Amino acid sequence: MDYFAAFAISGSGMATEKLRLDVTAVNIANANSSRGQDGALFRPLRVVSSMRRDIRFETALRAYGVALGGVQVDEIRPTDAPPRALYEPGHPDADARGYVTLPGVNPVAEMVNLIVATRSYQANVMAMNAAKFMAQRALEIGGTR
Amino acid sequence: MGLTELTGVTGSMVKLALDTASLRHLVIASNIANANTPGYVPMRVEFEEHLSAAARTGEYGARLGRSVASAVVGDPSGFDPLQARVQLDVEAAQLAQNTLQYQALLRGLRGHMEMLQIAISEGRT
Amino acid sequence: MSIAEIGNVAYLPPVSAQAFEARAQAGAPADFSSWLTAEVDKVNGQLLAADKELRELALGGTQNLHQVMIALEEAKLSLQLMVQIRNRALEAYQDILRMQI
Repeated sequence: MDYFAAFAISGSGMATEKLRLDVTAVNIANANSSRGQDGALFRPLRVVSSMRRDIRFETALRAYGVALGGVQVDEIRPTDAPPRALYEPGHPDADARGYVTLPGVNPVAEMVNLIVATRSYQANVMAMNAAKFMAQRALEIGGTR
Repeated sequence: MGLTELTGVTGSMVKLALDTASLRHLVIASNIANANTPGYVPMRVEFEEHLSAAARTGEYGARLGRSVASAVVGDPSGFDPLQARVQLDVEAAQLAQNTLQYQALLRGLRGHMEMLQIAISEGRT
Repeated sequence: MSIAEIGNVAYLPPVSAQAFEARAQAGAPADFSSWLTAEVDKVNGQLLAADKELRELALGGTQNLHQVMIALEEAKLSLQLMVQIRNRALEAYQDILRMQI
């Protein structure tokens, strides 16, 4: 049992999904921010991830011609979701016609992301526990001393 | 059979199966970690088919080349669109099966070695 | 043995009848003492290999935990068997010494 590699893979998965969760929380929190940083409106963020090629897995699996590894976060990218307009003439940030421009955060999409990220996080925890369990069983070869 | 080959063919097969189960775990863990990675195609490990082919011919010493245990990438051609995406429940089932297989192999090997131990020590501890 | 080497079944000992005969003829020892010497060397090699794997585990973590455990256990079994053989050989020798002519 190559537990180092197993923990590295599952650990990277957990870290990435946790980041996804945090980014989703940021999106939801800023759904009604009419004023963004430096005057620009808040744009919903997305975590862009790709497969991480670790040097440890390269040596083990070059023979099979398949790259194996965990996951890494490339960037947290603002999306170009169209902003929504809310009619509220009394709002401090209302324009001449009385419309407030708010970030194009889709609450349904963000909730789905939340659930997916949580489930994936749990799956990674399950994989790490399985690796730990197998390694512990391997230590018991030879019986209890 | 020399003193260093006590576990014999059984031991070798179990070691092979254990190594394959370890590889299989890494592949499943990678699939789970990359469940939300765009463009990632889930992988599988093919092993038992190759080993039973060797068992049928009876010549375990035969060379099967490098493909006894191969990590195979799922089919990205699109015929079965579900295969090109990681499905967490499928991975969870694979994980459970693989973990149990690993544990069973270890338990079996331990029993095998305990029998050898009894034979060597003539039943006296 | 790391996971990278699963690719080959060749290290499994041959099982078929012809393969057994071939092996027996190829490596037939002359007598018991030369066989025993050869086996002692092999057991020693096995112990050293197990030791090396254990050191690798201590230094940086191994790529193959069950392999280390199995190597240790097999080395232990081989050593036990060798010690038993030594005991039996000694007993036989002492029996012969005690024989009244």
